[in-house]
Amino acid sequence: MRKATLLSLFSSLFLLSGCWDQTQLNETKLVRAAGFDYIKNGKIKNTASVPQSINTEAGGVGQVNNQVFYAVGNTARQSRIKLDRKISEQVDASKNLIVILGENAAEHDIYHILDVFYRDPKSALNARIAVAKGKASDVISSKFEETETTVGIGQYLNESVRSAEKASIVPTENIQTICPVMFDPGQDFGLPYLVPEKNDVSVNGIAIFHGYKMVGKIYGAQGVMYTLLTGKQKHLSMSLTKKITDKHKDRILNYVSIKVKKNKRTFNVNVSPDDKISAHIKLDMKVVITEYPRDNLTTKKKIQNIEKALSKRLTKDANTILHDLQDMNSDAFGVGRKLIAFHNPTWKKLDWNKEYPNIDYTASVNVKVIGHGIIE
Amino acid sequence: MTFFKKPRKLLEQKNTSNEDKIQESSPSSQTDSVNTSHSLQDANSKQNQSIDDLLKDIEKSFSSSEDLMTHWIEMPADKSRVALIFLNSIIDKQKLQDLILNPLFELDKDIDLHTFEKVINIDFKQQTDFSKIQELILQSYTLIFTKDTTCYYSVFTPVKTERDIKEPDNEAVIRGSHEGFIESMSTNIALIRKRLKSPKLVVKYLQVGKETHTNVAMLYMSDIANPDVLHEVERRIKAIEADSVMTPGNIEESIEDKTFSLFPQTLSTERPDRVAANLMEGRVALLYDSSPTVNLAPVNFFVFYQTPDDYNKRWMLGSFYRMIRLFSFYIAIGLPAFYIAIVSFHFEVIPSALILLMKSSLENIPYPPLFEALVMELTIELIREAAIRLPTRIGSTIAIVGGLVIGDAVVKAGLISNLMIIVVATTAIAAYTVPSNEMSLAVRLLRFPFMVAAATFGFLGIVFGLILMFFHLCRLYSFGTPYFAPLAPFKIGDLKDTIIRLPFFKMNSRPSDITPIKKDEDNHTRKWDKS
Amino acid sequence: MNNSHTITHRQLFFIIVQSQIGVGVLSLPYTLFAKAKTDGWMSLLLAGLFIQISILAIWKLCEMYPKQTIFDFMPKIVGTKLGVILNTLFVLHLFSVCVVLLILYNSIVSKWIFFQTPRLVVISILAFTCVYCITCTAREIARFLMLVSPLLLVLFIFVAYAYTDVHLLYAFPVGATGIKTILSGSTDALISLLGFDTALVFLAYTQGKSNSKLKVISYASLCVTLFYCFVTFTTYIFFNPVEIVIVPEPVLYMLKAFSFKILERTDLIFLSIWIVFVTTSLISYLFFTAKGVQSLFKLKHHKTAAPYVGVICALIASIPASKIDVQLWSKLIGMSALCCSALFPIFLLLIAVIRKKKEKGAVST
Repeated sequence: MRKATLLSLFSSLFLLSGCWDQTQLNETKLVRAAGFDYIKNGKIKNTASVPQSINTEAGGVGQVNNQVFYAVGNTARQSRIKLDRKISEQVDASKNLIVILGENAAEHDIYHILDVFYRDPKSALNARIAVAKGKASDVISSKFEETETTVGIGQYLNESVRSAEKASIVPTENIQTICPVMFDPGQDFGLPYLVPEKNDVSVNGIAIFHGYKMVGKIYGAQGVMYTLLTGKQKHLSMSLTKKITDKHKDRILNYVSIKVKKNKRTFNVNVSPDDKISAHIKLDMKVVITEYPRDNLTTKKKIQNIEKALSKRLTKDANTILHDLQDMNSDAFGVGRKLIAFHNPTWKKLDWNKEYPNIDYTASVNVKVIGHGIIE
Repeated sequence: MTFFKKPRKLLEQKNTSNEDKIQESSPSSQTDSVNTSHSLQDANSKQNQSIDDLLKDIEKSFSSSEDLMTHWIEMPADKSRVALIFLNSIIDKQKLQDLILNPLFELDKDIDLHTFEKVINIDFKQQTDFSKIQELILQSYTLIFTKDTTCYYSVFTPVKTERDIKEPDNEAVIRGSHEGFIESMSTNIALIRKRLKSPKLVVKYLQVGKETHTNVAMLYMSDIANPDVLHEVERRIKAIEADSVMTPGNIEESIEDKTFSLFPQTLSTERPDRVAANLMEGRVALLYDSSPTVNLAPVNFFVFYQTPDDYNKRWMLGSFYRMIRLFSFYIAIGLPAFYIAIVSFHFEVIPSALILLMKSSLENIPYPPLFEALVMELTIELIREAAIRLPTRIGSTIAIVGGLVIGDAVVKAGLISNLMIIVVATTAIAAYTVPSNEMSLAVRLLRFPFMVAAATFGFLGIVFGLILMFFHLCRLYSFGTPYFAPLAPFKIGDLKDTIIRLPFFKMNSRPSDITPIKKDEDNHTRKWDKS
Repeated sequence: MNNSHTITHRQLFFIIVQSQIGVGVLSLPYTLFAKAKTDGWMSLLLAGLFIQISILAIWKLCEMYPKQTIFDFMPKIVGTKLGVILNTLFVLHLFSVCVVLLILYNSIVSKWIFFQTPRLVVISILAFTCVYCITCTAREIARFLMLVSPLLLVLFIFVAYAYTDVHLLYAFPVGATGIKTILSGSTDALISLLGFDTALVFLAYTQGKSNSKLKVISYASLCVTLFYCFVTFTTYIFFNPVEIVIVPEPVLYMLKAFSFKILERTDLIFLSIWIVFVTTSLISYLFFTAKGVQSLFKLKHHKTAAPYVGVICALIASIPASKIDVQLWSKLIGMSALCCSALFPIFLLLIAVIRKKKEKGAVST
């Protein structure tokens, strides 16, 4: 009997209790893409894309109505709150897909903006993050063709970046994965760089960061080399097209296209007795030739020639990237990290920001052809 | 009275027969004389009464019920008068004629009743215990009184009121026996005996109900079932003190360990093969008068998820469908709750690709998800209840009207989201996959508290609900054996026939939770494969 | 002791594991990092070693007084009067442990999912559940604790999933902080490893050989230490050393970023499973407390004490409001718990041994 009383007491507790923390899905507006820009007076402009599906008779997702809202505030959170006031229902960013930083915002401290994401227990830390050329509000816009056919702007931008990641043009990052690297004094990172064009947005390269700030860009095809240098093992389509000779008049015959099947990175950081730091990245690639109009890959020698030419060419590319990075003072591959881990006393002595541009930093690429498609 | 052939003239008719309540016959014999409390007051003094006084007393004790009949016949041997007394409504007059009257008159004229008993009929017995008169009459016996008032004779002449043996509707199987129990206890025992032709199968009769005298038969395998369990079952049944025990449910409720639990603690079945298999595992079967339901005890949770079908499939298929059924348990109690928790608390967990789809389906629904779910679940229960009451043909119509028309209309009207319809329909189907009706009902009721918990506390509510439910299962006992057995306490060997079903030759030991005294099952069916 | 109340060795193992793994697992890497930096996982291993000493003491005590709980043999060791006083103090300590479990549970739940739900409600749903669970025998509790143990595997898999994105280099340089800091970090680690002291009551119900009982408890505590170590190490190589300082619940934070095709926000799922482990620790501690109250007030059954214990704990636990209060309470109670659970059995054993020797001496002379 007593148990029954206890049980009924408890169940009445259930009924009495309101539903304090409920957030009904149908009473919220979901932000699917968020953009941040600094405007002239130092305030932050927040752009949010809120897709609203137009309910059809049959149910399911019919057409999507892309709504884009703007708000300006002193901080990221304040601008979000102002945004909330403009939108009819409660704004919820927990299903955010991508965060776009305007170029001027990225050149400031990005952590100041991202803090709101890290602090909020409901925020989507798995959202992608990218830098836009010019303003973020130019990228989050419904003027692009594909936003109509895919499900909203957020989805469109997200898919574009994802396909670029698959092609290894940009590194795979999200808000959470950049966080430890951002804090790390011994390592930096890169983010996808989006360029708005007339009818679409193209992923045009990598925005290079140092600490919390963007310091430069790497364009186009060099992105693949950058990704290879990060030591990424393999991916669906890690393809490169490289010029290996100048001999032929017919331009197309000078080129060879390869697909990287396997990529092995050896990363050595050495400190000489007089505290000279040298770093060397060695890549061993196994590749498949996907395009070689001259054909006749019959003899071993011919293949070796191609291998040699490719290795030379790629080594040059890799070194260019390393030099660029040194010039930008961005330690994207983590030489400093290696120093912290294995040469801790040396690390403690030096000022890495000053030291890094002057270290001996080289790369070498060794290519091995393991296949050539179904013709020789 | 056309069926009384030859000796019609000798019969004195006292009353026209009133066919009122027909009482079920029973094979119960002299062994169990349960008290006939307000019977003839001083039984032994009756021996000295004259036969007329005795008959009057009997009549009085039946409150002059009009179906109590007395016939006088004259013995061909010594012309002495003999009285036959019986309840007209529950005896088979044809049988009376065939068993007593015809032989009596066809036989040698010298024979008297006493020798008659010895010569002819196994159903014909001499009785000396006068306190049992009432009970015997109530159990379809015809009593014969002679001048000699120190003893009387009884003949078992039950009227046959049985239906045919059919497959039980709510426990149908695809392959396997299609026999089911009927309302006759002796037939039911016969059905079990037919499957277990073993001298170790013991039948024990008990009687409950001071007025109804309901017979209960306890069946068990004497070399397998644990005497402690047997004793416990018997003790609990004997402890029942009630005027009327009408349904097996009454007995079930009286003997189960915890009445304040949703989970059934005895397994009800109408399938003889299921009973036989469980007897062989060491369980006790309880059969009742005029009830096709047989209760099995002690049981554990997983017994409710076994069906005879499992053993007629290939073992991998059997295991697969067993797991599907167990999975359906979680769906049936948890799916609506999970859905409510997601859409009203944690929609972060919905994958990105799905979120807009879900949102658009929910967009214009005016009610909170809990209300939506409650309305739809209750509608389903309404349809179910209506379908049971209605005749089969209309029943299916109701199901179609209820299921399709209401479901479609409610979505079109924008009252309920189409996702909720999917959830509720899946849940309803999942609840019906449980082979046992009692468990299915328990599961169906359980999901309501889970829904409320999910609507107040989200995932946390569901987790606490599950903790409470599983703890309840852990502390539940069925006749002293743990209810959630091979999982709590954990016995890896006993999992072979609970979550999965291993091949027959692997089942070499009986489940240990019911503590059989003979553990070994001796299933060495593939000995030919050993060499 | 009734025969139907006994538990087996296997069940004892899971009782100890389930009591030890509790609230601590989420914030342990953070607390360890505060002292021992990236070598926190070594402090943890050390703490695991220290614990073995306490376990040995507990086991020895229970071996000397078989089939008795601490409340039964305390008066026998220190004398009736002092025994009652010590028993009362020990019950108070157990109360405080239950309270701190509830406080920490509430602080995490209210930070991660229930932002607006009143404290008392969040706390009382857990307290109620546990009170229901302890109104039965030790055997049924053991069965339940064993039933939910497979969930540990799920936790393990979730944490192991982090290895898709770790920076192994963050763990280096190993041992840079020096042995002293590692040692001082191990006191914090000890607090999160508490729970083995429930053996003081559950050992009384365990059947079987005495030596294997010790083995079971030791293995249980070893498993927990290794599991914690795994979790801590994983978070240390997932987060940057600079970042971990600002993330009080690194495990949840780590899972927040993971998403699968069918489910996103794994931290919410993890949190739900974690609740089960909080419940199990609280169940065994509340059972312990209720047993203590039973022997103090000479009750017939600990069932009678259970609701009162639950209500009192829930009410006290809902007092601290701010984060600072919570930290203060958990620190104070943590230290007192360390003394009572880890050190006290050792002292008690010493007294018992000395007393026994004296008695022997007295008998021989």
